[in-house]
Amino acid sequence: MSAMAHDAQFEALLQHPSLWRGRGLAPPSGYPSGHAALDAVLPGGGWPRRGLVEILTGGGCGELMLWAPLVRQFTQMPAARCCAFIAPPYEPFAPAWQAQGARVDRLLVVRTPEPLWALEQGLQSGACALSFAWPHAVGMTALRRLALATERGSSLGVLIRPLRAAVEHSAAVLRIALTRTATQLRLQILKGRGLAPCIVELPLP
Amino acid sequence: MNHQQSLPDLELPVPPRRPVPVRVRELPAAEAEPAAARELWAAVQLGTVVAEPDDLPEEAYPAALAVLVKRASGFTPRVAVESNDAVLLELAGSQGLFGGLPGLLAALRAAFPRPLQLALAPTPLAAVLLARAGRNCCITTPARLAGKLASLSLRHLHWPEEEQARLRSMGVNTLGELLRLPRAGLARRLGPERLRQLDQITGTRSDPRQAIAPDERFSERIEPDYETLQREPLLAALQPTLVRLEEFLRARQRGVMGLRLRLHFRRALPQFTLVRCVVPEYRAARFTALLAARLESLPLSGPVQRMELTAGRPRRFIAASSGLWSPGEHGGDAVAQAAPEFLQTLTARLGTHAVYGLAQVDEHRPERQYRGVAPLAAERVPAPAAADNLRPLGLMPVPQPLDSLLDAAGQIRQLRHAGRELQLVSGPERIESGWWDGEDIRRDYYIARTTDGARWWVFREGASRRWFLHGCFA
Repeated sequence: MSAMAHDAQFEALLQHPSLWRGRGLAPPSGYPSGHAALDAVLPGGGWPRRGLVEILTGGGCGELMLWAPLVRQFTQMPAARCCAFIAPPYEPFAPAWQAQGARVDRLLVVRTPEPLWALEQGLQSGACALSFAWPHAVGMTALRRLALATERGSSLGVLIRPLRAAVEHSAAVLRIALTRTATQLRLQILKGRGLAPCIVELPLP
Repeated sequence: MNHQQSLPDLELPVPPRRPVPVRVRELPAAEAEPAAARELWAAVQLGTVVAEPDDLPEEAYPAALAVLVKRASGFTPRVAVESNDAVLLELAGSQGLFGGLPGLLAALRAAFPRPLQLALAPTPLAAVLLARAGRNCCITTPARLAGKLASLSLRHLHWPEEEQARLRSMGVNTLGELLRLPRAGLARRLGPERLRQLDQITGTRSDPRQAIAPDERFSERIEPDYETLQREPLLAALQPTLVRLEEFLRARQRGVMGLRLRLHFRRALPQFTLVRCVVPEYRAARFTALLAARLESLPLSGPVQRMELTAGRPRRFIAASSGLWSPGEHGGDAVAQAAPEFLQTLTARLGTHAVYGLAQVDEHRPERQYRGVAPLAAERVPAPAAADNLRPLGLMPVPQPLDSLLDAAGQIRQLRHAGRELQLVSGPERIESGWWDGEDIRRDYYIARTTDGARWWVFREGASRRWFLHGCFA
């Protein structure tokens, strides 16, 4: 039997209704991330529509650049919801976001010593389509609470945490460790629904 | 057989030719008068006795008027203020409620006793003139109006002294004489505006008035069952009041922009706190949530003995209709409904300065190219053209000094940020601006890279040649 016929037979076997694969659990569609290589890997072909995403990074590695296409998409929609930055270590720089195509008047900054509380409010109210938060420390209970809040408000929350958090357990739907080399962004996907851990490399803009 | 007999029964009964008594409707006396006015205006003037400059200074008028307006709104919803010295009430629709005109007059005289002047006339301006002249009369028909007005002095019109002098020189001293002048000449001498006023006095021209909404505020005192420091019993004690507030606002179709809560203690001075809303709000559930967030972050100086809740001025608001889709579903919009609530909750707990939106400013100095604005401000400023050069997504509000090691020649050998070595990747980009306001900068910006791959926006200050970290290519 040739390899071709073998593959066809295998595909036919996969169509069997009593057989399910991990990928099938993923939501049918996600938001396109704007990076083709990443969309090809992520379940649903993009960022999840709701839930908690963790980006583990040392900072300055393009963690916001990764999300800039989605921020642009959300803020440019006619009935746009805002994008919130909760306790960021810097000020979102309006001209740079403008250059990325985002509507600056839809961005919201929250300065608070309790970023998790503000993030929960933002996620469960559904007021913010996308909320970025820079928490100091997050426990498992807090992560579960936030994950529940994203379900309630059908919103997407992004936690930006240091790389050392990779060893902790998490209730996030997607965890990505992000590093940067001279020429590319290196995304190590630690966890994703219906997704085996893998590495995606994106060219730098 | 039956068929034949039953037919006569089916015929319609012929009405008997009997005299039918005709009921003659007796018209009430007021309606029997010819052509009763469609409108009946009462003017209440701050009386001549009170209006003496010594008794009541000019700036006290609005306060005194506010009292009158409040009293007047007990009679009719159509209350207006005329040139800061009289209150107008439209009473045509209210007569029935007070037992006809006599009952209404008695109630008015009881509500506005004597030093105040009260006059009723079919047009607002005529009522004001009569009240100013101190004629406490009641004219219900336009036909009798001209006769009553004829003897009034011109000074009650409150026209400029110069115009009055001109009329006096023409031998015109009373309103009657003025009304008898030919219209064309009058319009030429005094202008069409004065002619329009005269027409409005006699009622040949309409004189629509904007009714003022009375300034009602909700205020209630709450005494909890026991003195407590706990937030939950306090909120529970506030609950019935908040429900009454919602009813109050619903009935008026109004919302408030804020609440003030005053807390009284047995051994400490009263404390008060404000809760602000982003849009006019009326729902008790929202007020509860906002007060809960506020109370949680408020240090109490002792067990609360008594509370006073005062709502802000009721404002008109447009109630939002809920969308067909739940937020986020099928692109159902959520920004109009959820965002104000979210912002209210945040500001109630964190304060107004902790939550802000961004706006771009046309400037060259990077730290001034944006500013914080009210969150989700409706105005959308046209953005300046984007710079060609790469800019970081995150900017430090204040540039952070970098550690630099210089060699003997004064050239940089090493730059360090948080213990990591920085390598300059690209640059310099010179930004030099602001000499006109004394905060001029001359900086050479570079993009730098640390060993872990992170990119930073750094600059060397022109004058001091010191290095700073200014942005993060996040």
